[in-house]
Amino acid sequence: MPVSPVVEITFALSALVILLSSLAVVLVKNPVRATLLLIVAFIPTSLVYILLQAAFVGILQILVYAGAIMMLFTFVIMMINPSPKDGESPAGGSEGGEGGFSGMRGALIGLLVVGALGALLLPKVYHAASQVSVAPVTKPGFGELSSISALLFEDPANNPLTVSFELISFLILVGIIAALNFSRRKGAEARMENSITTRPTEALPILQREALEPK
Amino acid sequence: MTLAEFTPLLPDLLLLALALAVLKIDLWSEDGEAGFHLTWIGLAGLALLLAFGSRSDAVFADYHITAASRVWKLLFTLATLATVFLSRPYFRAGGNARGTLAKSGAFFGLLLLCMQGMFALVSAGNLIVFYLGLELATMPIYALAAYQPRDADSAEAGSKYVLMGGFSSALTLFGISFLYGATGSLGFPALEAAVRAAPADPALWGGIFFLLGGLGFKLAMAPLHMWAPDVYQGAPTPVMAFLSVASKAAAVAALATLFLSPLNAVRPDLAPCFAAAAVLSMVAGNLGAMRQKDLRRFVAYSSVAQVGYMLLAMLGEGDGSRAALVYNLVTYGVTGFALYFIMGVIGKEGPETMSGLRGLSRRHPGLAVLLVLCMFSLAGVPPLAGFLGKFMLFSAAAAEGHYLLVGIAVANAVVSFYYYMLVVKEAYIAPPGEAAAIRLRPLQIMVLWGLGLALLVLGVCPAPADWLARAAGN
Repeated sequence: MPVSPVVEITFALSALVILLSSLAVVLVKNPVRATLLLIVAFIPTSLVYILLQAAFVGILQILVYAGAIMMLFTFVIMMINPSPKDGESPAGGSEGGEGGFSGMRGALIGLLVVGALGALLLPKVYHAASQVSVAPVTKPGFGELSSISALLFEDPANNPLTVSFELISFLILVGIIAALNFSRRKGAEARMENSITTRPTEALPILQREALEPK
Repeated sequence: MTLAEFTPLLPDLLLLALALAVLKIDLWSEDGEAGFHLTWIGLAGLALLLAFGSRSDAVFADYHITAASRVWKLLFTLATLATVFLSRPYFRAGGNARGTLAKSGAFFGLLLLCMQGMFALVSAGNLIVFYLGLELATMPIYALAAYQPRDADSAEAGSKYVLMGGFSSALTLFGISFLYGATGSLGFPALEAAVRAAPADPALWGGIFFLLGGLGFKLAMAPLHMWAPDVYQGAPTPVMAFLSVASKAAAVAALATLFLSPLNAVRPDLAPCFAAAAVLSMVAGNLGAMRQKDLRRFVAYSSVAQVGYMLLAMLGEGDGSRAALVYNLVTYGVTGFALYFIMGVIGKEGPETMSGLRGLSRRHPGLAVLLVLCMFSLAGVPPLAGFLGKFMLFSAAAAEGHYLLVGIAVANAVVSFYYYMLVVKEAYIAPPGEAAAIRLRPLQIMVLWGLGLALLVLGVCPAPADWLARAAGN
């Protein structure tokens, strides 16, 4: 069954915007701009989801990623406020440095690898894709919230997604513990530092302090 | 479902309860002692339960409890238990020259959650559980690698591991999406059937390619091993021990779970790939280890070489390979932990480097003897555990006719003698400095004796190997 030209054109445009803005995310030097460009990449992605009849996932993509997560990103970037110096890529590596795979050489190697992979895989994938039937899904309620929640929560004892669902909650727990751990460390160390600086020996020059401390 | 049906699932549930209890009790205890005792008692109980508990297999919605998975779980549990004991002095003031670790509760909690991920990994019945288990087995280690407070190396290790781990997870996930596209299924049985029906599907090979890349990073298999030395060196020693034994075992288990069952049909086609990775890993690890002065870096390179030997088993037939892998991981774990405990002892006063071993034969003769046993075992000298482990790996590959590869592996094992003997030379021959005699705590003496005896027993007594082969083979 042929796809309507509207869908084809929408898909092609979205794909183009996704590709260009994702490239720009990597190439742009200012991290705030990179974040905003990432949001630009998310909007056509959600459009693609909607084209695939997964409207709910498409809306989530905007709500959660563009709305919430990227806002957090922006906050963090604003808070740290990194301003890349001249000749420094935002990732921190220096361009054209000696040794290693930095700068142009890295880009060249990356291009070669991606090019070779693409040349190997693309024709095959294209061939495989052309075999797939493109008839729209006729399952009632496909992509709706009710069917997604049924998929996740129906019959928990035999649902293959139950274990995965629980595992994801452990993953989030690990993230929370790790984040708490590193943020709490700062507070504890600051207190410790305060108490150390009140020690009288701390005020002495380093040489004398070493002489005072027993070996 | 009745309560009795949950009995096979008991170890997994118990581990979860233990992790949460350790995290909770840490909020009340001031010095973290309660967390430590709860953790080791819980883990010891879990090990007993896995070894002598319910023997029945069960399937809970794509979570498979089998005899093979129980063996893996027992291995993970024992490795974590050893890590917990090893980490004990690192949390005491003055226990290590590099500085004291803080917040033992979160440390043990993260270790246990990591173990939960490994449990899920070996019980996975579909690719989503597999991926999530792999993630859960890696994510806590990102935090643990950066656990040394105010230490630039440790922070570097953490951030390097996060970046590399994230990258490899993305590769793995990409590979899984290809597999799903090729076979239309995430469950292992359906995947196996689809692979058998169309083993030449290009999308399938795309998936395998990315999966191997992602798992190769986790495994630190050459040429994807370059993160390992830096992370091992920067991470606190107990975390390094966990990385090199438990985490490595998890990565090997992941490889075995995928390529020895659902993707078994394509494994013969992958033989050149595994062979190349094995040779590269052996050579890169052995050449790298020769020049190291830092013991943690040394361990990293030597473990890369071990991965090379272990990849040989991926060329053998299924059951023998699985048994050889498990047995080799057990012997490597025992040997490794004996070495790490020695590192912990010398790390009390000085840096954990080669020169820190200097004069060990005078400072503590028993410890020096154990060090020699470790090195001989790692090199694969006959009466010791490491020999039998290597022998099983080599014979698994030789049984399928890969004689040239086994020859290369044996040559590499001979080369590795050189740098293992360098360590022994530091302990016995190098001129000793003016260091005081070493005093050991009763717990340390007990653990070191246990590991030393295990080194000997696992090498001469084939009964444990037989038992493992029977249990893991099924």
